[in-house]
Amino acid sequence: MNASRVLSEAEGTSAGGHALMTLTDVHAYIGRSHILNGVSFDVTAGQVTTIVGRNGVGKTSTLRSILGLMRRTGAIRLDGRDLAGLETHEIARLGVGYVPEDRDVFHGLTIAENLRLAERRGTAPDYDRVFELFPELKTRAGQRAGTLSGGQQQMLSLGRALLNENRLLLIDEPTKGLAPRLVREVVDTLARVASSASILLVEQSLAAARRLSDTVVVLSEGRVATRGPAAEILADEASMRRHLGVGES
Amino acid sequence: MDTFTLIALSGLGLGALYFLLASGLSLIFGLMRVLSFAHGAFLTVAAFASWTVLRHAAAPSLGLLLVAVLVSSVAAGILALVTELTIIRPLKGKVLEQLLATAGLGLALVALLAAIWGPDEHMIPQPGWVTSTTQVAGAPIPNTRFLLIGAAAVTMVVIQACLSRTRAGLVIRAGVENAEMVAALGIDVKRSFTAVFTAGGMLAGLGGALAGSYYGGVSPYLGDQMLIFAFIVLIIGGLGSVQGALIAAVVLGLAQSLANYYVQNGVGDILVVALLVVTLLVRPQGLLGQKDRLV
Amino acid sequence: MVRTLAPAAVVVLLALAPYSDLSVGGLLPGAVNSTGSLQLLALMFVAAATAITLDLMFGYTGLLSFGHALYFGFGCYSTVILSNIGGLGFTLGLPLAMLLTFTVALVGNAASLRLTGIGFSMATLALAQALSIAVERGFLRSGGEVGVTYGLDVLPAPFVGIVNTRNTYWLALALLVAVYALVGFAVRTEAGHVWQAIRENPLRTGVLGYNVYASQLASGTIACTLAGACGAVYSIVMGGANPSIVVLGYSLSLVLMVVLGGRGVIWGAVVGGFVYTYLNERLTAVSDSGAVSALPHVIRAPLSQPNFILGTVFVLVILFLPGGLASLFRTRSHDPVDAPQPRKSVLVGDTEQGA
Repeated sequence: MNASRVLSEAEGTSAGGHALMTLTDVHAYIGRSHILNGVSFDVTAGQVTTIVGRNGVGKTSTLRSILGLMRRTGAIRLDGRDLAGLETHEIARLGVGYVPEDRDVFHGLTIAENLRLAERRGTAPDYDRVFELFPELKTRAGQRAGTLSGGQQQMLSLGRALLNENRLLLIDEPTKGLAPRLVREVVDTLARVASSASILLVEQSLAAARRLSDTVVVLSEGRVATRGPAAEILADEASMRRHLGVGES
Repeated sequence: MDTFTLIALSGLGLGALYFLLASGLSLIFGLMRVLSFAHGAFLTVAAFASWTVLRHAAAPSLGLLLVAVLVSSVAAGILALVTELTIIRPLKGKVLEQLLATAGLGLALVALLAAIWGPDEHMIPQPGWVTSTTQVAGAPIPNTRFLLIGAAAVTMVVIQACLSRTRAGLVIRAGVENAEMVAALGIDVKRSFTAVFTAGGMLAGLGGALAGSYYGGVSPYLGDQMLIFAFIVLIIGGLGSVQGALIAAVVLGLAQSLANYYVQNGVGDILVVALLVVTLLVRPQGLLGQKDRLV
Repeated sequence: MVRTLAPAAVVVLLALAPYSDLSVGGLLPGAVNSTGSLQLLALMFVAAATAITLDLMFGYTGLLSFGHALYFGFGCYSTVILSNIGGLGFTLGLPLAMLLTFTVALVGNAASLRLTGIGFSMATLALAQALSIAVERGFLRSGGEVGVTYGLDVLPAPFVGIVNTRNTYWLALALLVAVYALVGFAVRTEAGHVWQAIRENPLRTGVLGYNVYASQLASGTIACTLAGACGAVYSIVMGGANPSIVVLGYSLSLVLMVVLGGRGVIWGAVVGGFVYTYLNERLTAVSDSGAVSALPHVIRAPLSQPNFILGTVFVLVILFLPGGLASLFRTRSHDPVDAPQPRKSVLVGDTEQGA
């Protein structure tokens, strides 16, 4: 057992389950700007860990650092394996699914092609699960993703990540910019997915975060301000106002 | 009317050459954001390869020409492959450095060719069919024109088929939109980069062999002149769009040849530049390009 | 002190060179004050000055031009052609040519700057190509492949003839010093700081309330007009204009000089211009020398091609010495970090994606 694991468990942040992913003193950079200033936390297997914080504190950068999409230092371990030096596609193949902030579906490709692209060699794609969660992806298979609504694109982006049996899902602001009805729908779906997956979520909506999270990590200026069980952290209204700026949403 | 047909078909042949160079550049730029200044030199190397195959044949057969075309494409493809692995890939993410490095490579390659075979033009023997003419609407058209137009058409069809029907094509189309997301799906985009750069080199090679036929000879400076016009085709068509490159190549080839013949030699060349300037001012993303490409 | 004294000492030494008949063992075509040596040095000064003007755009403002030869060439050709017109002569031809160059620089930059990034580079390439074609075809009395030379008695007497080579040498040196001082001053003004901010991040500079387009236009117009002045001096050194200075290859070689020396460092551009021009002019002579001609043809032939060596060195510098030759003499902390910001859809180590 390595030092970081000992440390994080000694601090007692992870309740139940083992630490699926451990971030230890992660620093990340964009050009000359220092974006993450030593971020450390665990993602517990089988749980939803949610990162909250104001715009620009490094939430998206944390996910991108995990995927090796940013220049970073520090240790990031998945099931004990250090991801340092691995390239993005290698990290993804270890079983990391990514649903980016702007959905990033491929606009010029059809839904079917978007999904086909996500198939990984060596593992059988689980189309049944995807079509059960999002029947529309089947009925609109031939439609270009660029012509889909925001909600539909979000479903496609989620479906793309769920096509494979991933160990960890990185989901970035899945409800951003969606109509309230769609927000409910997406949150419901995520709740279903969460019952059988480990998720590291970035979420601005406190309501959604409350509904989905087991553990919450609050980021502030590139550092972890506080972390702990979701019920506890999200209930502290003063702290939430301080760290999120806005109150309820 | 006869003259017009001849000039127009010659213009299309020229456009076909531009397209062979520009289509590869377009794919490369679309996927990798690299504008390769070395592709002109790749074309020239290929033309010399073709000359090496054909030079000793008094009257080469069509079969030998085909061999020359294959050898040229493969030679340029290998050159492009080595370039990608040793120069482009180590400079990953530094688009400016990649561009400059290809410019340096192009310079060195052309100088090397001049050192080996001298700066002057070498005649390339052609099969009888290629140098003879076919009557079209009463005008005798050199068969090279059909060879070029045919090659460009086949190239376009093959590119389209690869892009739309193969998994590699799927990865390329997705990578053109967002290479990062493709990698995040677990796909090794670097391999696509290498493949596309190599394929672009092979297309330049094909262009080189055919340019040798079109002009009947090769000099070390053949490719650089073509490269400038291929760049213009690329920009007018829209960076990253193969269809755009096709349209622009046809329009420019025709406009250039017709103006050079009917107005004054040289005016066509300037017209092409003028068309580029107009495009840049009126529609900077080009005919079929996407706006965010020109960041 | 060293920073100001060292260049001053170099300039004084160079200014005294025409009085030295030292022979520097084959490095120069002859003794230092021989016509060939002074001519070579003058060409190196002009190239260095021109490289500085490109560095102002590329190194300091982040505008990569593939068409700098347009302005150098235009300055050169227009000075010669206008001076040769009967009524004008050199005294009227030169100022008129510079005025025209300024206008072309203003209009050319105003148009090219409507595009950013690679689009700008391509626009500059295209504009320069128009001049290149016009010259190649001999439009506007440019003489086609041969070029044009000054007519009899057009140039002021002190700059004519082999006996006066030292005068053109001093003229070229004066040009280099003037351009160095001007650009060195310009980049230290407030406008100069804005240019460098634009190089680092045009978007943020715009958000801070600076007019990015106007700043770039100023930088580009100054740089290109100065390049035109360099072209005029070139025409005096060479006694005319020739098409080799308007082709794409010349624009590329200017970029090469700046990158070789180290972009964003003025004396880097000088070093780059010196090294490039020296190698370009001397390699052929060196390859004819005893040591090299003994080598087998396979090795000798490429060595006799300056562009082979220069292109190879250039690629190696980009791969292994990103800061150029200047970075060899600078401490790391002063390195200009001007790696271009990669775009989102290119797979890279870091991107501009928000945090």
